[in-house]
Amino acid sequence: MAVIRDMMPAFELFRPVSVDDALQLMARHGEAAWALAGGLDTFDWLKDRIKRPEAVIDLGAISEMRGITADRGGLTIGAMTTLTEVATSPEVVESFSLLSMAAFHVATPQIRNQGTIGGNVAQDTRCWYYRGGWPCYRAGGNICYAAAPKAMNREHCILGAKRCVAVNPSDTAPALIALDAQMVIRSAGGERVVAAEDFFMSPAVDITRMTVLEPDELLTEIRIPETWSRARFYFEKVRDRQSWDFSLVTVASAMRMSGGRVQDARIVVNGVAPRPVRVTEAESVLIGSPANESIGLAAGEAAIRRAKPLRHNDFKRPLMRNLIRRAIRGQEA
Amino acid sequence: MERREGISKLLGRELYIDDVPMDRGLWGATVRSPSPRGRIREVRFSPDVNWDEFVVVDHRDIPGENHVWLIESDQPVLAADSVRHVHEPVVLLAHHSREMVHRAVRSVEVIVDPAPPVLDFRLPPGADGIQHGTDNVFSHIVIRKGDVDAALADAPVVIEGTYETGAQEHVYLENQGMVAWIDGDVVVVKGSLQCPYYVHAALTHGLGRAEDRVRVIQSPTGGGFGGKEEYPSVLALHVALLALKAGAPVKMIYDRPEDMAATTKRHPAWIRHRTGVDLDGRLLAQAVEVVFDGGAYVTLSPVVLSRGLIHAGGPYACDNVRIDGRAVLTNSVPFGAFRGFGAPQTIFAVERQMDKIAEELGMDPVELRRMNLIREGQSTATGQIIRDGADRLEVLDRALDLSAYREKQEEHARFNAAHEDLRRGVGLSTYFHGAGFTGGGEVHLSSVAKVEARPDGRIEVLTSNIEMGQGTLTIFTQIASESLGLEPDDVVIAEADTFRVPNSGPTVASRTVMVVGRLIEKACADLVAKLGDSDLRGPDLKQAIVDWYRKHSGGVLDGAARYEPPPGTSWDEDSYRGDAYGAFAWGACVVEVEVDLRTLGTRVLDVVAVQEVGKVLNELLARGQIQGGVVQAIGWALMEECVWSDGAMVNNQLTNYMIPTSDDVPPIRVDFLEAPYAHGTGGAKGIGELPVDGPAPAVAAAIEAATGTHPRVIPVTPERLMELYDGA
Ligand SMILES: Cc1cc2nc3c(=O)[nH]c(=O)nc-3n(C[C@H](O)[C@H](O)[C@H](O)COP(=O)(O)OP(=O)(O)OC[C@H]3O[C@@H](n4cnc5c(N)ncnc54)[C@H](O)[C@@H]3O)c2cc1C
Ligand code: SF4
Repeated sequence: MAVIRDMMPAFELFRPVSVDDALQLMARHGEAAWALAGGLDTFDWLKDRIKRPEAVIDLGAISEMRGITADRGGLTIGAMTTLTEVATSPEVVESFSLLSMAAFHVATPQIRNQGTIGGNVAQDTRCWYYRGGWPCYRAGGNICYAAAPKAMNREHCILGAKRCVAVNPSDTAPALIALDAQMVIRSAGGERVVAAEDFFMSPAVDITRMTVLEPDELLTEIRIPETWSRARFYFEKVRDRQSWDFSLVTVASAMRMSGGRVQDARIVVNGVAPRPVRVTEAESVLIGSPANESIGLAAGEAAIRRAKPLRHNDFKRPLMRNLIRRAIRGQEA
Repeated sequence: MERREGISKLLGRELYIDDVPMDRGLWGATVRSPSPRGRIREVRFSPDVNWDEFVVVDHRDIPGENHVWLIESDQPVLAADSVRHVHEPVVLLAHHSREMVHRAVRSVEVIVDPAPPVLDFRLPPGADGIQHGTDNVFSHIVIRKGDVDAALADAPVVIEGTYETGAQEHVYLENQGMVAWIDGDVVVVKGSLQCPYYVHAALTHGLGRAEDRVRVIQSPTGGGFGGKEEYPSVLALHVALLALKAGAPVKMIYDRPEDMAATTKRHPAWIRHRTGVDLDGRLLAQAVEVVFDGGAYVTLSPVVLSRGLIHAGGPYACDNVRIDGRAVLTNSVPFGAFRGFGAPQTIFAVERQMDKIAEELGMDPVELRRMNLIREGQSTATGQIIRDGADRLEVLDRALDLSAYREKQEEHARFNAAHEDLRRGVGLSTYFHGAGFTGGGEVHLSSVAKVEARPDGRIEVLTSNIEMGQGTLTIFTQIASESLGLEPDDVVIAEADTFRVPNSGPTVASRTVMVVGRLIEKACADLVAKLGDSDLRGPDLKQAIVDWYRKHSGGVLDGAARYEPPPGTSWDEDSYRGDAYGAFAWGACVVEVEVDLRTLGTRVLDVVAVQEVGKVLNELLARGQIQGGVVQAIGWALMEECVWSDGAMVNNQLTNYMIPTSDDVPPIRVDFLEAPYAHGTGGAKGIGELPVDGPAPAVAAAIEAATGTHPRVIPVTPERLMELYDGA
């Protein structure tokens, strides 16, 4: 019954001004290093003393990691660009409004002013057992408290869980996957580029991590290709209240129409599985069909066929089905 | 008039208790029970910690009686050999370092031999669950009027309904916090609290000290809502015990998770109605059963129950009423005072029942209420005859007009037909709230207020009623300055310090303005009379005061007043008959919602709250009270859900316990009708709690109108609504 939280433990703070310096520091401190972006997720962990890094590397002074630039019909977004900047950028709004909508749905204006897109996709899960310091699987223990018989698991998975049933809390993640964004990852040893779809980690692969980022790696930028520029987009986030609240279920989709039929589509759902997932079952129902209510319903039904709700989250099944249906049909006036 | 402490609050200059620097002080923390019920086998202190550095207090260090003085003496200050709820305080620690003391809490293990806990207040306890009397009932009250059984037997129609309301966390901005130090042979406690003299009494009992060796000072308080009515007594005892043992100042500040987990909440309630009506909808008989979850100790449950029951019949006239209510023990963290004090729960039930009656009779819910609202000269469930000049029908009609209730209904029919996913609806409630303490409470308190003139002609007001954001400093300044014809700057409000201010009672029950304000007026008159000319006001008065001090060097010119009940009121505590309150305030609320049938989320689109509260003394403060109360009630109705495990709240964080944000509530439209109350300050009745009574049932009624479901349990979360609405 650890009701009382500890104070923030001491650590060494670094403030590099270049990516290279930051990567050197990350390499030097390895597992003991912690990259600090806007701090919104970071400080929760440190203040609660649940994570105790020895070296905190503040990325705030690295100007090359910040800003949005047009790039062959697409965009390159620095990882340290704030969510407000992403949400309001004319380039994003014009061509990739899906991402702008997603960024606008994060928390509150204060948090969007401070939080970065890199931190938003790299943030840890909000499972309250884990965040409360319970020694669960994800924290290195050998039990999942959220899947226990009397557990509180209203916010947890209905799909694809493996031992850990926590969901990914990021609002921008499903939009980035729908837009087929590419994540640029660097370490002192070099650079790799990973599709957003593969960036988020399933507990089946590594239960202690939410993304493919290794301890010595930084996400430096996110590239959005021209592919889905000005497509038909849909974003809807269901939450318990209208601001300052994480998603229960979110859908983000991009569709291309041709002759009244769906030529291509990417439908992504978050809040239902350990990572944001493309609903390929729904996509295959959709492609080649008109985007109407009945196809929407069929796609929604297909999407939840494999869902296995926990004790308190059966409501996520109809919710997911209905959001997919609405993503396909479009919002009512 | 400018808000007295407004600027300092705006600029962040107001020093709340955690902001007060402490010289060479210690930080205190609490070790709590991990278990809902059982005997304490052992308290194990980890050998990894050097305990010599810590001040450690347990029940053996309590110099007085080991219970928190209140209605009954069942709640220990620190558990001695058994525990009755998770988070029950067992051991206190203090250390120079805040970090060290909080870390050390985890190094103390309370080992409990478990006994079977009672966790569901709706079920009768098993034999092995009895922990209070023979049946775990803290309080059982029955209100009787007429012959209910005969009237039910004769009624052409009898309608039954069962309703439930959940717990609610206060979410005051400032968590509980206190500092204690020793000054000579006096123990001084300063902190965030609503009732200085409750804390004072608890300290004298628990510490076994004479009244003049205990001093309680209120610090600027960042919200209370009832959460700082009885709980601060517990914290004050803890911090004082640590300070006494340490011989040094000690500060204890709860953080949000501890505050939410370990302190009181609104009582969960289960309420059943059986109502006999004639075919026109007239109420013939109301039989109401009420059960409140009291939690592990009695605390204030009997009085919360009492107020809940007095309001359980609603603002309606009915000749045959039986309201039978119990507050019962469970092994949950004790429930306590919360704005509305039991009335929001019972009003939710009776208002939902009125809607059910209307539906079963095929009647308009507005007309059903119009027919049954108390008329001048009719009486409440306790037989209190209402003759206050207030027009309850006008309150109702004003709410209908302002909200365009009828037009909205037509508009919604069109909207709903044109939409696949969205449904709109409008709901109404009518309600009342008794102002001040129930029954003989005010007589028993016998409050005193004082005013003291200063040699420069200014006037100081001395009461134990406190500012917690609701505007006491401002309204008291206004009352004193208006009654003496002085400028607001000529009035000083004394710090609520038991060494200086008289006991004018607690800051609860919507009584501050109505009851204590009146005492200030009388004390002012008493002071002026001492100058030999009762008509002195304004600059003449100031001059007279200055002259008085020139003549009486060393003297003090003051005035005082003691509470006297309004003439002609009577209350019988044993039979629960008579004038339960000096006055009732009346309200009507209309809520419009939109429900998304695909997510079953509800958005509130419009709220109109109309109330008759006697005279409105300060319109800005009054509107603020109504708006804040409405928001709190909307949260309770739609999203504020405490999740329990072993009788303790486990979603004790503001990311999991949802309170409404400014995006979740529309602009709240407030209007007042005024029928001055002869015995309230300037004609005022209480206002603080009424606004919490009405919105929840109106929200549920609006959801009902929108979706055709019948919400009878709040909060109406999307999941609950999904269960009711199977077309999702
Ligand atoms: C009250 C509250 C409500 C919130 N509501 C929402 C919400 O509704 N929707 C939503 O999506 N989010 C929400 N969040 C989360 C918030 O948006 C994210 O926590 C925030 O975006 C994290 O970004 P940051 O810049 O503050 O990152 P930080 O907190 O500094 O970092 C987060 C994590 O990412 C790592 N990291 C950051 N940048 C990089 C990088 N460039 N390379 C490698 N690792 C990196 C850090 O090491 C850390 O582990 C909420 C947060 C709070 C506090
Ligand atoms: S869901 Fe995952 S994070 Fe939560 S308790 Fe289970 S293992 Fe831990």
